[in-house]
Amino acid sequence: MGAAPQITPTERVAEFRRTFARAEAEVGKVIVGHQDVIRKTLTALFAGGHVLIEGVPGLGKTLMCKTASDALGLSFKRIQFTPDLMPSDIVGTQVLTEADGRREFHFKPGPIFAHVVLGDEINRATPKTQSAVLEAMEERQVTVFGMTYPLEPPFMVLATQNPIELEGTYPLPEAQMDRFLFKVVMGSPKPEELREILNRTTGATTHTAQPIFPVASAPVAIEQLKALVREVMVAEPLERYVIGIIGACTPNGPGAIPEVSQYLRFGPSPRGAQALILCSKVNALLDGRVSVSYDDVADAVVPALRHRLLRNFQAEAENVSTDSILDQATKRLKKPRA
Amino acid sequence: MINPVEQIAAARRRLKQVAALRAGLTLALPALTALVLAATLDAIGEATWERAGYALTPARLGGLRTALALAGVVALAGCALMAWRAWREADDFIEAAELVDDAVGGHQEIVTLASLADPAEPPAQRELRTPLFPLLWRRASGYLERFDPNGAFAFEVRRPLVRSLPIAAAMVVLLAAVALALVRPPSAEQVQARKLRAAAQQLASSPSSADKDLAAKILAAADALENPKLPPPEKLARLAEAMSELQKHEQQGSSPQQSAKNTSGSGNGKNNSGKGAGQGNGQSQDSGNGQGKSQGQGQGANQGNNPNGPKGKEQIVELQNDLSKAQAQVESGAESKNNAPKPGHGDQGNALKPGSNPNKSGGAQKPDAMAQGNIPLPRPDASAKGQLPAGGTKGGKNDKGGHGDTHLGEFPVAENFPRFYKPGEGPAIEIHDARYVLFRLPTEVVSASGGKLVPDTNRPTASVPYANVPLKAERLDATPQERQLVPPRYRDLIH
Repeated sequence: MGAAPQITPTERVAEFRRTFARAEAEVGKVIVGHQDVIRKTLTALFAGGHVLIEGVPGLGKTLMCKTASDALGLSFKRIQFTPDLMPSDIVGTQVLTEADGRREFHFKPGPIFAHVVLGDEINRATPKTQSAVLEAMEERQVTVFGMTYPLEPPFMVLATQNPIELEGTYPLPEAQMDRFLFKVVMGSPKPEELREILNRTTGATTHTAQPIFPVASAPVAIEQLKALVREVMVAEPLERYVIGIIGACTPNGPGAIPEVSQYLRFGPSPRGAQALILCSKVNALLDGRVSVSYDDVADAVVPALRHRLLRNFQAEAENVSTDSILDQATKRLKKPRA
Repeated sequence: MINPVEQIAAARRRLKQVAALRAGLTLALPALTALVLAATLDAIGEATWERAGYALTPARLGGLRTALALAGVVALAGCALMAWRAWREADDFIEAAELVDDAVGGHQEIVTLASLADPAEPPAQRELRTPLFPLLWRRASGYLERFDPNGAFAFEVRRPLVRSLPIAAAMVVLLAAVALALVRPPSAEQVQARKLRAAAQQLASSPSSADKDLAAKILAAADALENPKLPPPEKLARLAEAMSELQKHEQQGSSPQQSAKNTSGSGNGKNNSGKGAGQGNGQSQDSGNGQGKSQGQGQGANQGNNPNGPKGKEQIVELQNDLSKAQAQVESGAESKNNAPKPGHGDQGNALKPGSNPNKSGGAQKPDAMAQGNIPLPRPDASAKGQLPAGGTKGGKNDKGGHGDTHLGEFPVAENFPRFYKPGEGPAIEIHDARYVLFRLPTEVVSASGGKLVPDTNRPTASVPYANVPLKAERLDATPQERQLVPPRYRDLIH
């Protein structure tokens, strides 16, 4: 039995780029436009994070999530969050079964047990139900009746929420928002994109994404790629730059810009810095590099931090978005050598 | 394959040099400006404030020069300090890598490599390397293959110099402002001291040690003359010292050549010819006979006595004159100070001050004995004595000293004294209730060859006719219709 062929770093990086490009292409077969959302979603997947997708109904959020999981050959579950949804409906419950005259409780896994879990309209469920996802998102395990059940990697939660129709909704608590690697905003399609959507969805032919990995080996392959992301190197000046961004966005923190002190109540947590670095690493690999650059970080700032900033009353009254504050912070914080 | 770490190290060395030079140059121009200004302060003064009639006292000039030189030295020290600091601050491997990264467009791959391969970092830093590090090394090598640190980080001389230009300009402006604040119109003593200094400098350039000693004495006298803190007696003492030194110098120069006097008596000593005549005959206005003869003899004597030739003699005489003037100014200044109605009254400076009446007899109005005695009077030696003109003042070229009392007293002047006192010079004169004023009229100038009248157009002449005779009695009571009877330059003498 011969030794497995040694894969060089160059080949690993090339494989990552190839896989990512194929996944994007496969999702793009189904989803028209929204390349940025697709890229960010896949980035979060390879970075090991979760994504909160915000957009009005009918933009294809659910379809995009489903297509992404199909393209990667991962299992997919969808949970429609409603006010009467119970935590056990998500994580599973113990059910009493009878076999051979004996009655036993058996754990019946909920829909959280999948590689890709879509929490549709997550803000419609009660906080109690929403919190049921917390442990799963962070610990990648669920605990039911004292028993802990690990979730099979790769595990990813894609949650959607509707920015309108806020009647009867429960805005996600800060702790839960912080657990999402990205928050991406899905905008309305452009006219030409809409025309393409009509052609694809109302014609006789249907478009489906083909899995780029065999279903059996997909999780392992993706985990290897995730490990590659972790190997990307970050120079000390880049780390200082990321720390500087976090500081600039923290009210009353060191280096906080005036807009931050004026409009924010809370800034990003250390998870925000982690998200920046991880996303930057994926960006670096996508560019064929094995080290992070300033541009990689700058590209990740808005999606990785926008949901981690807590606006104050004045910002809401003046309709100052977190995106604009982050833009200001990024501009003010010059890159050390840019 | 190129070793990227070595390339980054080479770039760091280059960056240190560039940083040191750039930082040093920031203050180089101000330092250079200050030193140049200090060195050329005299020339600047001559071209600016002295041309405008102002002067800086030597103490202030020296202070200003010292301040400028000090500023220059401090700026130079600042240059060195800044260069050293820049050198030390540029000694950063990661920072050098960042600059290299920018230069080659390495997307921070060079920086990342440097942060993981910094030779100064402990080996623990290498644990941060991942399996992708070899790929990073190869990519960095690729970037640095054609990288030349010397070309990428060129010495930029222009920018730091331009940056330092405002500082240098500010220095010049500051000097101008300080000079404006310090310059004053020169007093008569200052003017005299300056003349003495100039003469002393000429003497000092001579190889003779005697000349140098004399120059030192004269310089000391000039310094004393300009020193406002020195009391007048002290000043006079210094001037007397210089005068006696000058006399000694003159005697030393003349004694070895006594024997040559008679033999060279018939030489061409035109410029010195008037001295003997003027000295010998002060009172007469007659045009004496035998002037040509005596002149020629006198010239010869003088010529023969002068060890340095006519030019050196002139220089000595000039020096004597200057010293005498200085003495007179000191005396008049002291006198006017004593007689001034109030100290600090606004009649200081060049204006005439009330003093003792020169018409009164008495020694007080005479110049002091020392000053008088120091005037070098050409004394023909024994063999030439009989050839002196008996009384013909016309026999000399310049016989100004021979006209006797002119209400100015017997002021000590050399025969060659070229002009009368100006207001502010000489002993104070007070003329009260004068019915008339007798002015000494310039005499005609007779050339040395004799017989030919040469009008001196440069002499001061009156713009309106006037006579040196008493006014008629009937006109005394009459309202004067002509107000220009007295030449304007003499009006201040009459109160």
